[in-house]
Amino acid sequence: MVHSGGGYDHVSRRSVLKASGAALTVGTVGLAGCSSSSGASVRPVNEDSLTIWHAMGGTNGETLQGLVDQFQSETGIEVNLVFQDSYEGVLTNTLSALDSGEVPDVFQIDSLFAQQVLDTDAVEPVENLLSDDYPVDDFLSNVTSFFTIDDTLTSMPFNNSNAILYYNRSAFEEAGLDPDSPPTTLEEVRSYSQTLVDEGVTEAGITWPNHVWFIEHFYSVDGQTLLDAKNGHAGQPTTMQTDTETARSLYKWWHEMADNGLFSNPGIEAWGEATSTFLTGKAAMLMTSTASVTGIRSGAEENGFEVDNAFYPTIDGDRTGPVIGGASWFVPSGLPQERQDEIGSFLEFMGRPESQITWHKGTGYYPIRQSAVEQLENDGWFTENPMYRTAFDQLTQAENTPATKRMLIGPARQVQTTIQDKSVELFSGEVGVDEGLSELKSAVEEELNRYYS
Amino acid sequence: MSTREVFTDHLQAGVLLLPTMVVSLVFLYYPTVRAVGLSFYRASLAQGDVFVGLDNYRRLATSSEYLQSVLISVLFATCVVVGVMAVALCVSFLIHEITVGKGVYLVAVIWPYALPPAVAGLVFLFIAHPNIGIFTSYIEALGVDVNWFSHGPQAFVVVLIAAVWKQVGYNVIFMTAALGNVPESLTETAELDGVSRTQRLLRVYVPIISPTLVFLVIMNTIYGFFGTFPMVDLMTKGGPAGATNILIYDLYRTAFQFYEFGFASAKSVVLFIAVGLLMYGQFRLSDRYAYYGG
Repeated sequence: MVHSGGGYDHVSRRSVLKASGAALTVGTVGLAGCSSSSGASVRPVNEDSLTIWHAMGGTNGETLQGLVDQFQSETGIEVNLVFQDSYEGVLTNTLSALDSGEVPDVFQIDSLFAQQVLDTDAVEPVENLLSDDYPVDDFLSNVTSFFTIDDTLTSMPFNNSNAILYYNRSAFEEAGLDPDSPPTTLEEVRSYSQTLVDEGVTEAGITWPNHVWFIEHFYSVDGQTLLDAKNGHAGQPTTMQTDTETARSLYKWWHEMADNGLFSNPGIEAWGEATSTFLTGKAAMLMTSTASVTGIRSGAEENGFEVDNAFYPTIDGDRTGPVIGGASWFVPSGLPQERQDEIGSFLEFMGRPESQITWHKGTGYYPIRQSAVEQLENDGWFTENPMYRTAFDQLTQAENTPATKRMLIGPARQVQTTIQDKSVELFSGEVGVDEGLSELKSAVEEELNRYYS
Repeated sequence: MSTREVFTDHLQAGVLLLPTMVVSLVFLYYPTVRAVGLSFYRASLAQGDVFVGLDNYRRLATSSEYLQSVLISVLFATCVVVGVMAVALCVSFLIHEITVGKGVYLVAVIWPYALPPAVAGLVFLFIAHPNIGIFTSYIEALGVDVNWFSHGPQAFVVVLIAAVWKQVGYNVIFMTAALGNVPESLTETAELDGVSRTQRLLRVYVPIISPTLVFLVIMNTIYGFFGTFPMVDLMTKGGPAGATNILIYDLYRTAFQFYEFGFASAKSVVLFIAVGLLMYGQFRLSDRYAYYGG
């Protein structure tokens, strides 16, 4: 059936050369389209409607589309929502767009990449687009503080969350642990995990995706900044703070947890795997986004266990607060005034309390307007949904310090990858804590130095 | 080679060549030249390019991470080539020898090759996933602690198995075809002389199908260096601790996650030259050993 064209008398030296030569060239192409050519004049992707690039898939995307539909019918401004698959997708396409001059009107950028976008000098602070009487003060200051640079609101916060601890109440009960007093420190997480595993209730105690956000949380909860220069909010940072008790305690604990089989490693940036490890009962605790409340609640119901959540564990009992995560809306600079007005009204619409309530209920992201929160309180929403209460309390009870402002750096992806990769070596015990931390420090310094030099 | 001129008219020949030339120029040669040029710049998106001379290459030469990636890639590609060809040769020989159900076996072997690489990577991920894998509990029952998200050498082996599994079908197609073309008289002679099965494979068939084998060595080398990207991307993302960070993945990450296009171009130029040299060596070797008939 396949006896044609492959026999010894059909393969000539020439055909071998031909096939392999073509395949080899593929290695070098694909990069050439990526060099910059700035200086082009700015024009929108679409002249007749607002183009918005976002990274909200699934039900979050549907909720966003619902809000946009409402905006269109209220204002008559046409909006074209374009899903770009991921934050990285939006970032890549946005940077190329800013480079070419043909730009979307609004783009949703993960807070981790904010500085990288600001460094292009091609974005307009959203504060300039909002009408003068727009109540910026009504936004939760814990949220806007990150997005406010040099007293100017640079981008419009929209979908924001923290990381929080979820736990399996049923598993706790089975292991003889009190489900009403979840662990609050690293030490308690360890002893709870040990009990759960010893009692044979779950295979592992806890899981969370290996993402830099969780390292940022451990630092901020302990009141420490991850990088110098106030995490990049007061100038260009040069190093990572690894010579600290925070870092040593964290990695020593993490290594022991992994070594004793108490931590289940779902992999780098493996959000979905971490959640399914928790939902399928392989681990009794999970750290992930507060925006996952809805999904985890229904997942737990399907898997027949009772779920609850608690504040992010502290290193040693002292709690400052979590860092804000999620994304905000950015706007390119240089668009015509008329266009900017339309964009302004879109941003105002997305930020108004009614929209925030719809958004919060549909997705689980925080409502970030004070008046939206008040209305939710009055409606009894938080009483009916205590898991949202916990998530929200974690945000509002946080102190507002430099530590609770997430890192703001240009080479965020490099630093993120460096920290995540090195964390694996550290927790798997491939390097000792002190040695690993000093390697981590110099690797991060190298990335920062290269970008800012 | 025939010296007969098919086209006396150069214009006609030119017109017929034009489509291929245009496609090659636009999509292969021009980008290659651009990549070489870009490798002398510090280039990022929306931030302008700065000429830096040989800085990118200097950084490559002094980077221990890159050196590790080179070693990993060479080791990985070697294991892929040897693994794929050993398995494929055995399977092809068995299929060649068997008389009943040949088609069924062929289809079964070729099936993984028919999967798109990304799908194959995902399928294998969920077969071998340390926490939620389908086969994981069975493998763990044998006393192996499946932990390749944290354990480098294990991750290397898992990605290697996935890469071999995916590529065996392609090799079997060519090998069974080549075996099918071995003259029946040779097989009969060998059998009359009392040559054993293994000897017949290694001493009679392998030399005769050597041009096909050379071709496959080269295709598998390219596959080992370039084609295994999706599996690494989907299964390990180069980790843990760089254990599966093969050059092509490292290059992708530098370009499309870190946006360091100049540095990534330098990496691609080095990779291009290295694999080019490697292939040149393979051709020189094959000239000596492969039998092209006559």
